Amino acid sequence: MTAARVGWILLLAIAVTAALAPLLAGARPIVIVTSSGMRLPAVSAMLHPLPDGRPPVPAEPASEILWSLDPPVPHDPLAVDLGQRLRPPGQGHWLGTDELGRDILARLIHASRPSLFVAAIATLISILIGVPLGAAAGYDAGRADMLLSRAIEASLSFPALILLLLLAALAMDGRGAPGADVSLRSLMVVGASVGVARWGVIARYMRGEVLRLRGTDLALASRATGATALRTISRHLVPAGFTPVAVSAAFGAGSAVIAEASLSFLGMGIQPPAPTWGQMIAASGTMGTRYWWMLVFPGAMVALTVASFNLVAEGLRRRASR
Amino acid sequence: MAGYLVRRLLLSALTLLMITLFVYVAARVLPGEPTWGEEPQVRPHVDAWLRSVHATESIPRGYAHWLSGMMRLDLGTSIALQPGRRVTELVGEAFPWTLTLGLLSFLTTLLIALPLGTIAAWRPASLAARAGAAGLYLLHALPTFWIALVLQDLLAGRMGLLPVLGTTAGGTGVSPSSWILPTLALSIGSLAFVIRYFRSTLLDSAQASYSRAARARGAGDGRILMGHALANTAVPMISLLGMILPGILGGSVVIESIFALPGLGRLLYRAAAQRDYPVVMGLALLTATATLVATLIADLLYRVADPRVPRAGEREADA
Repeated sequence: MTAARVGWILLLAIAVTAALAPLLAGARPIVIVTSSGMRLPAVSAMLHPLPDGRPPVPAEPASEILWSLDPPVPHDPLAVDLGQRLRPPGQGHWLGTDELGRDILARLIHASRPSLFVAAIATLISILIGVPLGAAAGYDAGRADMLLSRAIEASLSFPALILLLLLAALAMDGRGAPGADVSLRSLMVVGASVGVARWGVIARYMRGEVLRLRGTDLALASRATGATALRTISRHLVPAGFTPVAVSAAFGAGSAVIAEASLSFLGMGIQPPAPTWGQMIAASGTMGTRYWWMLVFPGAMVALTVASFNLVAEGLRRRASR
Repeated sequence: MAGYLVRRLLLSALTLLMITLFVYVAARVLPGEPTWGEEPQVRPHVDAWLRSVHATESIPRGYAHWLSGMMRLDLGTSIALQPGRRVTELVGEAFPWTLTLGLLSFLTTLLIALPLGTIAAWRPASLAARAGAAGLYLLHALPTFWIALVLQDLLAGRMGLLPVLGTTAGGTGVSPSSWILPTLALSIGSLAFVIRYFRSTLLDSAQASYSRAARARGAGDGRILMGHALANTAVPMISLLGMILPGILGGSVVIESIFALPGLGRLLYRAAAQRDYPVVMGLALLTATATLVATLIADLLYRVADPRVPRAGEREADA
């Protein structure tokens, strides 16, 4: 099994975990069968990108429930239980609990959603900005290229985390009361910021490829058939030179995961109550050294996700260079 | 050379202009609505900031006016952290800490990376080199702040070998040993990159014609690597400074926050948390400019050290 395949499988596993999070961990049963019919409380929660923190739907009196199926991790990621705080991994809480008695495993599972969501939005945005600008610069190779190249160079001059903090500080409102809508809004801000911070990398690769291809027979043949510059670029040059961009985008998705975790760690990322790996690591940092499970597991999830994106990226690169 | 120098300087000046444009446009168009409060000690500084970005004018006009303030190196005054103090003063106080941390970690990175990179290039297919590469892979996937917390937990917390924080209470006294953890944590962030860069430079160099000539004269692997290839990596290594400076500056944000070092990174973190826009914008401008200048100096040094850099390559170097 090649390393790239391991990457794809890991990535798929994490994506499935994220997609099915409410079915895997939560206080809402997956299926409830009563005499009046069947309900699927956890399934409706799957459509929301973040846990909403509302208490489980007031259930029917227990006597009416004929059969129900709970998620394998029957804990709500947001449910505070001070009687269970800082429990080490063991029975009941397989990976332990945090300083508020919340189940670590349930939080890890639900935190995979914002992490992948940010990676996806950021990658999409960086491609949507970077590919047209990079392609235009490379095809022009004149004055417009000179200006666009300066813009690319400028965006790459910012240390990534510093640019992210600037964008997040400017785009996020001041500290309000935490709530599900605050979490959702900050999710969008972080996704967009990470994408905007990385467009220059994509644009640089796209420019280089189009610059290389514009002198080839591919471009010449396209122009000879009467295609406009726009058509030549979008139908021929960009697709032909997209591999380095795809490789960079896959690496970029991995660094977006780290960027999201770093922002969350600093308290400038996705706002509570939604759990994120970065927040969980930050919480362990304030709790001192005894509670290793609060530090180790979220760190491992970040590393696993980033490593699988990197393995996929390297697989793409290797396949292209063959 | 003179023509190249002028051209390169003009291009960098244009890039610097773009950097300021990014920061200004971001400040004008992004939708955040901070709540600084209406306290009498805060309000005047908020108003002063709104005036300095010319918030009532159109973006192009406002930018032109704001830029003329920036040309005089007037970064404005702090709103929330230390209301009324000049941003340049705050930066001046924090800079020595980040400079020290950055230099220490740059040296540490080289001290670790050069021997390891040489070993990795010595027998690229050996088990040790492969295990090392896999280890680097994992290291590369871990966030710097996580590594910092683990080091803090193990070396300072559990074993009690080193001070937990970079500064003693109040941020005044510092013992040399309290630099060790932050330096180590920051170095590890760029370690994987530097080792790989050095290894591939060394391997390229070991394939070059002078190395093949040495092999033809009967020199062994070790002699080629140490006697011929290593010396020739000096020029490519000049580029390294420009390449890892952004990593060191960005990394200092989390490392200084974790170890309570009052440097630029921690200043930025605290300013961002309190929406102290003049401080955040000033630091973004300064760090981007520092990276730009470091890259420029590295390119020029490269040119001096290796005059063979082809003219035709200049276009490529533009991006």
